[in-house]
Amino acid sequence: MVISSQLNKDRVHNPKQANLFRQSKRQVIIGFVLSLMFAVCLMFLDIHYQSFHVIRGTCRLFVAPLQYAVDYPVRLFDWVSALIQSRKKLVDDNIQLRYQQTVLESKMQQLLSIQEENSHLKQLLLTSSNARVKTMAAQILAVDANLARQFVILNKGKRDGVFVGQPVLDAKGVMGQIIDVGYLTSTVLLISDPKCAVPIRNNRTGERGILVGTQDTEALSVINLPSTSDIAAGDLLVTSGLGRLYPEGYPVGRVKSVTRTPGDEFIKVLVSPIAMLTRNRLVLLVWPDKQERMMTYQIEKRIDKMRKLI
Amino acid sequence: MNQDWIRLFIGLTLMFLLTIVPVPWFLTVLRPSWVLLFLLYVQFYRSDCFNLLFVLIVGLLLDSILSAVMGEHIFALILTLWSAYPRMRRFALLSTGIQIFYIGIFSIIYCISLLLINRALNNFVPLNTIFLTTLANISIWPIFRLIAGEFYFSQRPKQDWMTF
Repeated sequence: MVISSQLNKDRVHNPKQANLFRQSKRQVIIGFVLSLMFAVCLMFLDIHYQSFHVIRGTCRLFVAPLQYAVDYPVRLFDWVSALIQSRKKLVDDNIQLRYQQTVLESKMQQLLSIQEENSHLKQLLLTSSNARVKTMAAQILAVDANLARQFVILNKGKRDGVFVGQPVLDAKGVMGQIIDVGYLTSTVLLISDPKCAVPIRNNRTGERGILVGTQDTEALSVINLPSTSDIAAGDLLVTSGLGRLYPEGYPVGRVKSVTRTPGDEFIKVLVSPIAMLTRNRLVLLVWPDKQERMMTYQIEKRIDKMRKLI
Repeated sequence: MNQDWIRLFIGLTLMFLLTIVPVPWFLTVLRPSWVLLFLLYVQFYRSDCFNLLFVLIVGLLLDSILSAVMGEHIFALILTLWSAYPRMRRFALLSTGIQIFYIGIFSIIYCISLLLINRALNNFVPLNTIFLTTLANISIWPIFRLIAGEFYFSQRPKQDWMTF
């Protein structure tokens, strides 16, 4: 066992260690104060200037190998677990998946015909039809991030064409949006984060609202809904397409409870997310088509012009 | 000296890996602040390798790896290490119990700095993280010090230990 006095002897007789003690107290205090000021400036620049994200992206390039190094053993463990599963369980899973696939394929046929009909109706109304969107599958790295935010890290980055603000979906619904892109990895802000807001529409009534996170992955909240709103438990909420961030029509959540307090102008709506925010490994990255991008660009240009006029 | 920096780099890489390795949800709040413990160890026991530029770079990498606001962990680390600076010369001579007490104080300073920064940025951080993280840090410190001591001092030539 190493005794602390022995360590101290070693330190005292090392001339290089004595150098630090020769620094005046004033120099040390100045060093610390300047470092604190540097940290504060860095925080300010990172929050207010988008171009600072280049530095963040460069730093991410150095830490990406560590994230992969943590992810691979977890994936290896999952692979080994899958290998040693009992044959009976695998056969049962296979049968269940085939059944699900058959049911989904028949639903898909119905949806395709409805989509076609919808497209015709929109053409009659002289509105733009939904064109096909480009998608790419990505994997969530098994990495624990900041406790204060609801993040996941994906194994796709700038080299794969990922961009900030890109919507991320899973097999069931909306998961979140990309908020930071490195060369090899990117960060997704989940819809359960309080800083994430999703424009939604009630599938039953067509009423629009904003869905925000509550830090709880099992409960989201629809804000600023007036007390006269027609919303009930069990209603399906889908993306409304407003804000042109999330493509229209993707399921976001199902209403869990509606609380109306007498005298309150707004009602409290709790929603359970449809996407498996914490139990997923595969997600889908969505790219808007050229027509959508052009429209978004024109809308943003108009908004900027109006802001300048004001 | 090169060997020292290589060992420092290996130790730091290990601390980053431990910071992000996935753990069950109930252990997330009980995760020690590995990088903070490592920097405190370097400050007290290997002050020849300790300088502010090193801390700035480590803080920057920690911000990137945890997807935090750049400067958040730098601020918290610098503030904590500055408060630990007056204890730097005598820390190694203190008994384990007193060392644990001081590590607890430094851990509370670190956690409160992070909490205040996150609250200022409207990010929710539960208050119990201060106590749970501090508990984890003070629990792990004696073992951490022993293992780090073996790693950073066991390779020194015998005559250094014989010198009085």
